[in-house]
Amino acid sequence: MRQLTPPSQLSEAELIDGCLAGSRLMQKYLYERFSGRMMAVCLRYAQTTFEAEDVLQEGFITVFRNLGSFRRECPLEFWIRRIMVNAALRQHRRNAPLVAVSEGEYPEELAGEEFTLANYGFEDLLAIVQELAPRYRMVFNLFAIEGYGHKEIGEMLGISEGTSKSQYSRARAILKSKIERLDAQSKHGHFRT
Amino acid sequence: MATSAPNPTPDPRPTGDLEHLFRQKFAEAEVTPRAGLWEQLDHELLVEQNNTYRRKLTWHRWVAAACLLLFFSASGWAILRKWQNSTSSVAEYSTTTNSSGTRVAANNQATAATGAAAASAEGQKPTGSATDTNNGLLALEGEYISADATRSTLSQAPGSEYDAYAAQIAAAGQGISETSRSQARQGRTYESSEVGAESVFAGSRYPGLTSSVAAQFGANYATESNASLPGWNGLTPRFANLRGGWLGARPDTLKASLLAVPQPGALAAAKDETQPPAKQWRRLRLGATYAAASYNPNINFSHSDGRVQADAVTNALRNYYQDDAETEYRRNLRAGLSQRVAVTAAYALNKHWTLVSGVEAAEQHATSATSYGFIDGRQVSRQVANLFDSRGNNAFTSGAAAVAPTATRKTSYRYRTMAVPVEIRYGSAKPGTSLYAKVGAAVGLLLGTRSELEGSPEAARVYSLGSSDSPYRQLQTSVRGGAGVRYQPAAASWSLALGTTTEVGLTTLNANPSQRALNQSRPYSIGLEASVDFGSAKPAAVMP
Repeated sequence: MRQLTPPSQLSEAELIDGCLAGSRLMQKYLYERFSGRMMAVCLRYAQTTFEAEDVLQEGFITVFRNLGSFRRECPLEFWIRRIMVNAALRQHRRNAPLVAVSEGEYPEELAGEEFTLANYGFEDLLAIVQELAPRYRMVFNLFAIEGYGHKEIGEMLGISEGTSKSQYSRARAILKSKIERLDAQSKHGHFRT
Repeated sequence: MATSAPNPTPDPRPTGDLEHLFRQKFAEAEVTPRAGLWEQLDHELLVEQNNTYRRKLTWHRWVAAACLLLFFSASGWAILRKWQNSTSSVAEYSTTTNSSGTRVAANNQATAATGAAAASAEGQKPTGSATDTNNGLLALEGEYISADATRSTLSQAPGSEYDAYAAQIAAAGQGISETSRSQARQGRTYESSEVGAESVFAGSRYPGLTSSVAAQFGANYATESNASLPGWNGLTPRFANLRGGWLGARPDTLKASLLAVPQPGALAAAKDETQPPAKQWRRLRLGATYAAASYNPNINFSHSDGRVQADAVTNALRNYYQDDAETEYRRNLRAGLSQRVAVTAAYALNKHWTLVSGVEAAEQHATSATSYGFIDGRQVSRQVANLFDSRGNNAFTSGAAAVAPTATRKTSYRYRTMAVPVEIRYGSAKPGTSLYAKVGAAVGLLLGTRSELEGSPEAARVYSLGSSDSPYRQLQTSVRGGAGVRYQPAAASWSLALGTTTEVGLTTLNANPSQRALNQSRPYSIGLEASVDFGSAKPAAVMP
């Protein structure tokens, strides 16, 4: 019997070629290789885990459907990540009319802060990002994490560049406030792990 | 949902602003999705794949229907055109015999046959033959001429120019050229008739009348020959002549031409040319064909079809080593014997091309081997436990189903089909030995399949035409070709043919391949074919 190649030893090119040939096993391997990182991406954009799974599923369907158009000029992960972000944007557009933007009282400008990275865990930061209003969350993710400019974000979300800047500023203020609250909790022994 | 710590980041700064904090923590984070998410995704992919298949299948069906329609339309058009050509060949023959008549006339002009005797002899010819219109017409003319000769002989009215002229002919029995007689009898072109009449009656007492009547008939015939039935046009003046003789006074100027009779030899030659074309049914030959070939189903079950509802075990196992099982199946796939019998009808389109169709039944065999219990693109269900008792080494040992046996077991496949072939054959239809080549297509139904796992008869799978879960395509189309030798003894009504035959499927044997059209694997066979057919002893396809 033929010895199977462990999926971890398969190169990206082999995975892509296998998927293009229609191999369901290769599709599964590709999913297994990238689903963890993409789930983390989807969670950042989604409000709940269920919503993130919907985005992940839609994103991977798009990946397998359009894998033939991947030109291999960049790492496959970047390409998949972009697809996931687009899927999250589509999900956001679908849900946007149903979700009201919470307008809180937050300072417009926050600067000069310095955070010690080791004090914060992924789950804590993810939780406070998910607590953001959807529009703030989208703008914050696209600007701070993905690196898009406000003009691009405005085009993606159908808002003006100024609105994007304003919403990012508000999102940032909210996050800083929550991080400070998190710091205070950790100082009193309530830091979540 | 389990989370894992983010991987080390390229920026090792221990502190940073808010953006830096989130970017560092999110950049390489991984969260394992719940276990069932891939199953959902897999199902979604299958559904999407199936929709694609349906669209493709619909398109393929339309294309196949269009091809069949085009083929049968072209065949019908070719047959009709051939039939029309055979009909018009009668008219062409008429024109041809006209010139022959001129030659006969020229010949007879020199020999000057006896009018009455010839008329009498011709009058004795049998009449009313259904198969030889010309013979019948000639016989009728003979009667007429005979009567005319008698009449002229018995004429007691010397004052009548006609009777006197007839009596003169009857008495002399000579001096009448065949030219006008032949041309009038043939009734083809009055241009030559006119010339003939002039030559006959030159110096006679009726030159002016003869010329004018001949010219008139020429004009009439020219008008009639414009009619839409060219095959009958040549006969029309002849009927007109007969009506004139029987029913009323015929023109005097025709008398001489009708009295004139060609020489028997010339008449026979003309009659030979008046043989009717071969009957349509004589172009038909019935026969039977047997073919034995090496048949390879060439199935590629990869990317198995989601429309075929698989059992739970198959679905579970598929996730682990479906691809390996499929690869193993194809690697061990061996061609088997294919036998085909057919009852055929061959229709000769012309002397070289023959259209062959009929009904055929075929049985094909193939074998493969599996170490996964992989049959018909699926794992066997109840026998899985037995198959997987002998556990071997495997790269994946997660779960009981992840271990496959090391020993392969033979699987046998049998397919039965019924089809309607349509072929076009090129070759000689004459007796003797000749070569032929043919191409064609067949549309058939997969009546049933039987798949057996060696040593496990209970694992055998049988699919019939009505099986909704069959992984095989029920409507099969293929193209085929062949070449060989045909032998038909002289004067025999049967013929034998022996040659090679090659068939390639246009459709895959498995129902819903996921590969693109160019990458699909289609069945094929190569073998020998023997056929015998019966029909007319004469070369059916040879036309005058």
